[in-house]
Amino acid sequence: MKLTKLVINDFGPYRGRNEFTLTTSQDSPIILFGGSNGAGKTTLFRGVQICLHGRSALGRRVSEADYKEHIRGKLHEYPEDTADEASIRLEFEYAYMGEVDHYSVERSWRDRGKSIVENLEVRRNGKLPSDLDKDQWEDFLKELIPPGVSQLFFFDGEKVQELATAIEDDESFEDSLFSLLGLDLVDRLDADLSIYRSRKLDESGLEGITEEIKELREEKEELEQREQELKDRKDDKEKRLAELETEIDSKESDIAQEGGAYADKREELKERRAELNAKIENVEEDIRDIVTDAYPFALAPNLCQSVVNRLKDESEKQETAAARERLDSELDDALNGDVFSDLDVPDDQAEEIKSRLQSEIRNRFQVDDENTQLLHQFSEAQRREMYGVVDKALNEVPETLGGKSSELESMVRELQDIEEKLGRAPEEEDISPLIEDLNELIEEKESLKSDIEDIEEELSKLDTRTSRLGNQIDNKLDRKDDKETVSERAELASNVQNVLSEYREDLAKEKLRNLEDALTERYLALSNKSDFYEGIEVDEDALNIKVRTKHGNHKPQSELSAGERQIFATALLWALAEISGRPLPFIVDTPLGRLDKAHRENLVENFFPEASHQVLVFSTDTEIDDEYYDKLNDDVTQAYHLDYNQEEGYTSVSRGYFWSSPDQGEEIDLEVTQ
Amino acid sequence: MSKEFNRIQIGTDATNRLRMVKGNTGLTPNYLCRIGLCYSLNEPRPPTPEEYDNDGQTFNRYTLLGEHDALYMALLKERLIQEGKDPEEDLYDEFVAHLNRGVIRVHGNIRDLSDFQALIPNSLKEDSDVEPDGELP
Repeated sequence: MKLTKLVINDFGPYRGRNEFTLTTSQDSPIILFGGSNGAGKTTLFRGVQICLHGRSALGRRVSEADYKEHIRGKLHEYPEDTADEASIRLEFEYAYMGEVDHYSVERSWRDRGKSIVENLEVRRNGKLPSDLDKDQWEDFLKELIPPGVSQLFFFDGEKVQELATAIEDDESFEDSLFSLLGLDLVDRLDADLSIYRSRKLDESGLEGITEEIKELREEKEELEQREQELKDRKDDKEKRLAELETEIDSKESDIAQEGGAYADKREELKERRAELNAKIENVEEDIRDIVTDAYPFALAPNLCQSVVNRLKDESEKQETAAARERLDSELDDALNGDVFSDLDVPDDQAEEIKSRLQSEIRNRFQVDDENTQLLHQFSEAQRREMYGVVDKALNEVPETLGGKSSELESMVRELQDIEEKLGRAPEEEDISPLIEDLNELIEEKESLKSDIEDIEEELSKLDTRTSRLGNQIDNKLDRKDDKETVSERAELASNVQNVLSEYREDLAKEKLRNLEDALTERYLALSNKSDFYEGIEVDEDALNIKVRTKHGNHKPQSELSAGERQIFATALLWALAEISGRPLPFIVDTPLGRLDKAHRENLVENFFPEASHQVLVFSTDTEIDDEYYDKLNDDVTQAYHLDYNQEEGYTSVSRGYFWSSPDQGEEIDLEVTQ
Repeated sequence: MSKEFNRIQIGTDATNRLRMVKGNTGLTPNYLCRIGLCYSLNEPRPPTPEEYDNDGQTFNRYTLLGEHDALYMALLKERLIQEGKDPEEDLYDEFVAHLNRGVIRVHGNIRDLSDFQALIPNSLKEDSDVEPDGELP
């Protein structure tokens, strides 16, 4: 990977748009960023990581809210106001399978008051990657440059310090060393597999289910056996039935041959029996019709009659009362009118006539008003219906029912007669045994038929039960299948774990050997005691790192001085970056802080030009000073000077270092647009 | 107005007998109850309600009496009036008593469908026998 451009916009001390060209050549891989303390070196250094990894750039345990808070703090402050938007864009080339792709990654933020909204855009060769969804970009970038690996390449003096301290404290060094070697991934995979396996084994329960299936199968087999038995029995019975039918036929024909007259009569009787049965059914139906209609009232004729009489009586009385009332009022009307006016009747006689007429009418329409007990309860229509029903019950029903009943009785009697005749063997000696046989055969046939019906019923019940059992077994088998794959997977996981532990051991050995080699080379290149030290030994088990001297002595790493340790840590990072196998740029922030002159020289001369194909160095003027600058000059492609303007409150970026070498001095300082 | 009732519960004895008569005649309990009611109403002696329990089958009044409900009720009331009882107050108890007694009696007299004719009082049958006079040979 090779960085080509960094554009930073209203982020940290950078006001407006600031663009850094980062292209380097093979011969001069270094880009130098010079700036005093607080000029924004670390902001740039962190900016690259944040652009690539967002939240993960700040470390594993940083929450989304803390990250957003961090970004809010990085929004550039103008004299009047704080910027509400910021962005960092990184452009780089990345070679994959021999093809070089140009990527541009831009992360931008908008301050929405309450929240900071982040937007990430990834372009490949100028276009949005068509093979990736927007929500996959973050993961894609992590794959491209794993955050764990990136900490090898993005390192600052402070971190080297941390690592140097960590080496003293064996345990945490072991962790970070394994992590840097990529072995922690194997460990995590192993732990995940353990969890997976115990879960899968819990889900299993194969024995129980196998037992259940076995029981169900046994039950089903029993049922099927019983079914087969029944079917066989049914077959036997049906065979016997067919035999019987032929036997009956032949008996009938025997009988017909033996005594023709009797046989004919038998047929006749059978016919008559069928006819009678049909007729009896009809008559019975007729009787049922009658009995369920008006018949019940025929059982209480007197009461019916009384009801009818009472109702009629009551309604007559009611009519009379109504008529009298009507007459009364008409009479009143008439008599009080002009009836007497043109007659020569004296007044007292007229009164007499009036009262006589009135009492006459009252007498004629006398009613016993009190006694209407039933009438008021029934409507006119109901009464009419009652009269009709009573009439039918008392007059029609006895006659029709009588007729039907005697018809039925005589038919039943005839039927009994016929049955008796049919059942009775005739007198003739030849025929009577035949008839007896026939009767027996018929009896057997009837009982066979009912047996077969019983068997069929049981068979259908059995069928339902077997198919239900079949379904249960199928379900259990499905579940068993699932569980089997579950336990297969668990076994697979356990195999993988075994392989993994071997692999881990081998990998650790291999990595440590590589580390030893790389570290020896790097340390000797950087150390000021390279004449005295011969190599580095890393103990596989205890992970002790010892420095071997020319004289064959071993010096534990912990006995190195603080400065030596820092160099050692730098060498370690360098070595680790190399064995990580990823061609990434080295980005180094303030690396020379507490080093003595000799070590500084070593770093400047041996580390910076050699560390990688592209090295970004962020430095103060006391770290990379005149002398070192001149030493590095050949290897530097670009140099930027970051200058913080106290009054204006922003950093201006110009080409060149704090000072430019004579041939670079001609270049025009690029005042960056605000 | 009459004291209305919609549910009628008969005794266990009557319930069992209904089931048996149904087996012999193919008639459902509703019809047999109607027959029983009228049969009992025709008996001169009044029934004694205390004789019967009420642990048997329950009927809905309309399904029990059907379209002739009015006439059945009229018969019962007429009988109560004749006996000098209150046709409203005692209606339900008397109704159930007649029903129980009638069903039990009917069961005793009916073996099959041809026996229903025998339940009709002779006075009615004589009338109808007399009318078609010259029919007998």
